[in-house]
Parts: sequence; structure tokens; C-alpha cells
Amino acid sequence: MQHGGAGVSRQATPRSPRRVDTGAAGRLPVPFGQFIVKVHGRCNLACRYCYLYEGPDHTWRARPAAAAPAVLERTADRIAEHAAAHGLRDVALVLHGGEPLLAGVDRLAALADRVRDLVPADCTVHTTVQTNATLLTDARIAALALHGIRIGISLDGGLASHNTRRTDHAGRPSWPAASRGARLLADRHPDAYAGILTVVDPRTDPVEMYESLLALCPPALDLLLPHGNWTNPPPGLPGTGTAPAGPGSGRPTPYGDWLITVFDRWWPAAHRETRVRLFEECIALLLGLPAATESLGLDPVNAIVVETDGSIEQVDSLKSAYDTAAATGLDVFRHTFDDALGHPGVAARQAGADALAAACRACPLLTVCGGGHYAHRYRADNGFTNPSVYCADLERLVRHIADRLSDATAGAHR
Amino acid sequence: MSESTGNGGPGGGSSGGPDALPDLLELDLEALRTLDHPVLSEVVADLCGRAEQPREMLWGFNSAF
Ligand code: SF4
Repeated sequence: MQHGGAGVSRQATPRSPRRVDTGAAGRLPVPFGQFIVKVHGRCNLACRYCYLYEGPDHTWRARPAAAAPAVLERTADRIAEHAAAHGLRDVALVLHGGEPLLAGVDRLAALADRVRDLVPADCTVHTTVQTNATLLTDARIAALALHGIRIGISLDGGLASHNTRRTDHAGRPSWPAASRGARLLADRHPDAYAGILTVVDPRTDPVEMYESLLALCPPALDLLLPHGNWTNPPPGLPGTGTAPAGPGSGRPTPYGDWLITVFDRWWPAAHRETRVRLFEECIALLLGLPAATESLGLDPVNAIVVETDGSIEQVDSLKSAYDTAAATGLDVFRHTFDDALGHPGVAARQAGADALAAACRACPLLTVCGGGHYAHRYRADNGFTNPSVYCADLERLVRHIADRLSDATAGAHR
Repeated sequence: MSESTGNGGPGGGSSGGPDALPDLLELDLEALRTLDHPVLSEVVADLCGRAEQPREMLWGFNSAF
């Protein structure tokens, strides 16, 4: 059996360190490497399904709309302190919201510059802003790019008909402005274009959706499952007290079916038309490599959020579960990010298989699926120790990608 | 916090067994780059450095690029 190859093959024994070391016992916490800063806590849109403003968590109401300069300066100091303390060579800074462009490009640029100036000289800061694209203009994109800020956009698809639920506060469609912003980015500033995030709606035609997004020339896409859980199931799925989630339950898999249709459109193409994060991270995990996604796998979450008032929080998808679910009680004025590493909620996200339900720990898909997204495991009566509410859909997707990868690699060197 | 027993997963063991995933862990990544599969080749080219990459670069936060 050959294990050669330019230092890129994994070690033969144990076959893959990822596959034997699925727990966290005795391991030090993984330092944060991705800092999500809520530069503006409100949005100029009022999407009808938004988990932040339409969901169970109401903490945003008590917070300032925009992060004050003092909050952002202190946040930059804390990021630099963490990077120095842990010898980080790369950190990701994500300017988030609400709609971060409401804070003004100057404030975003000042934060990005300050973090870059304060981290140790051998640390590279990778900055992105995640926007609904409606406020993108040529001048703003150019200014962001000048300060090394790449731009990710959030859309429900590449057609007006996909985006009817993305409206402004008066109920007017956001699509004309969003599509203009996306086109500007694609046509005039492709180097500043990070990609498109889209939430899966299984009622749409998956191939039409994918091809409509391709028409906006994103270098990368991610296809996200809508936030939901056993207590508040996602659209079209059964919740608590209904049939078991796994295969053999007969439960339909509308999200899994939708995703594999997109996969089968993407996979056999004559070249990679765009990177699709969900699929590529699944392939990484099937090959025994660590993954960079919250959607799959057992790798520790190393992202942390700073709210507009300086509160340090866990990633805010948890807010889809219950009010205050992401809170830690810490803030950048009084606490370091190392303090947040000790928070039990953060530790649970770094605990690998140890934090999962028994059904997941015994599951043949464990190392690839990893119980799915943490927020999707929630059930009001027992918290997060459950398989994902998307269990059957995830199984369908993972097995499908595994089979396609197996077919494609039949006869390859081992 | 008690564990759920009602929302069972696919079941079976975590390795081997009829429900196991195909074993792709020992595939040689360099060899995969040379297969006649353009998308796979490009994906693997991106993944090649990952095993050696510092952990802080595995940016998993899903609500942004
Ligand atoms: S690991 Fe994934 S597929 Fe397996 S039981 Fe858990 S949620 Fe379901």
C-alpha cells in the first residue's frame, strides 16, 4: 500500500488522527481565530424569516444600534492581545451585523486598520464584511478593498423571485438594490468578492437556484440550512414527539434531496464553476482532513462574537434556540478572549464527540456529520444533546457525497 | 441535562458494519489530483495544505465568508 506523495498524504497509522481523536478530554482549549464584530446591530432589511430579529432572542433590543468607536478600539486591542498570547499567524476578522455597512465604510476601515496595526508583525489579518449588498456602491466597494476588506453577500438566490421575503421595513423588495450591488462587485471588483451565502429553501428548483447564483460569478458559495431545532422545527420538517430522525424512519428529506441535486449539478462539471463550502468541507472530512465549517464535522469552533455594546458572545446562530442563548456575561472592557475560552458554552463547542448525543456517538457518520450544526440540535427539554433536527437530511447528503467520491476515486492510489 | 433517546440517529457502529461510509481515508491526495475529474482535482488541490495548516485558519463561522 502506497502512502507516498509530496508530504500531503496523511499518516498510515493511525489512519487519520481525525478519526481516532474525536473527544476533547484533557485537551487545552483551541484559541479563537475568527472574530465576528457586530459593527451595526440593526438592518435596513426586515427579512421575514430572520433569526436575529424575528426569532426568540431579544437581546438586540437593549443594545446600541451602532458599535461606538471605543467599543471597536477595545475590540481591536483584545484581538491583538489574543493573537500575541497564542502566537497566531492568521486571524479572521468578520465585520457583521445587522447590516454592517450601516456603520459607514470609514468605521469599518478604521477597525480593520487598527487590528492589522496592533497584531504582531508575523500575524496576517483576513478581513471580510458580510452584507445584504443593498448598500454597495462603486465608491464603497473601492474603499473597502483599499483597506483590505473582502465582501461576502447574503442572498436567497439569484433571481427576483427567490428574494421576495427579503424586503425593507416598508415591505419593498430588496432585490433591485441587492442585485445591483452584487453585479457591481462581480463586474468591477472581483478581487474583493468573497462569495455568496444562501439559505436553502427546498421549495425552489435547486438547479435553477444554483445556476442563478452562478450568474453572479461568486468565487464561493455556501448553502446554509435554515435555523430550526426540535422544538421549533424548520419549514417542512417534523419536530419533537414525531417519528425518529434517522433513515428507516420514512421521514422525507427535502433538504437532503435539494442539496444532492445541486451537488450532482456541481460535481461533474468540466471545471469547478465555484467553490461550494458545504460540499467541499464534506469531501475534506470524508478524506480524513479537518473541516472549516460549523455545519459538519467534529472540529472545535474557534469563532467568537463581539456585540455592539462590547459584550462577548458565542456565535449568534444559537440565538435561534432561545433568548440569551449566546450570552457569556463577558465583555471586551473587563475581559480577555482567554476568559471566554473558559466559558462552558464555548468549551461545549470545542468538545468534539464528547458533547454529542449517544445516537451521534454511535453513528457511522459521526466523524463527517458530527451531529450537524450545534444550533440545530436544540430541544427545550434537554438542551443541545440531540442529533440534528436535520439528521435524516444530513445522512442523505453525506452518504451521497461519499458514494460519488468513492466512484470518482475508484482505482486511485492508496 | 439528559440525553435524548427519542430522536435516534442512523444507528450502527462508528466504524465498519453494513452502514459504514466507504473508507476514503487512505487515498493519496496527490494521486487524486491526477484523476480525470476536474472538480475533484481542484478541490483536492485546495485541501492539500490543510493537514499542515495552523488550526487558527480553519474558520468555520457559517454566517459569513
Ligand atoms: S452524526 Fe449526524 S447523521 Fe449521525 S445521528 Fe448524529 S445528526 Fe444524525
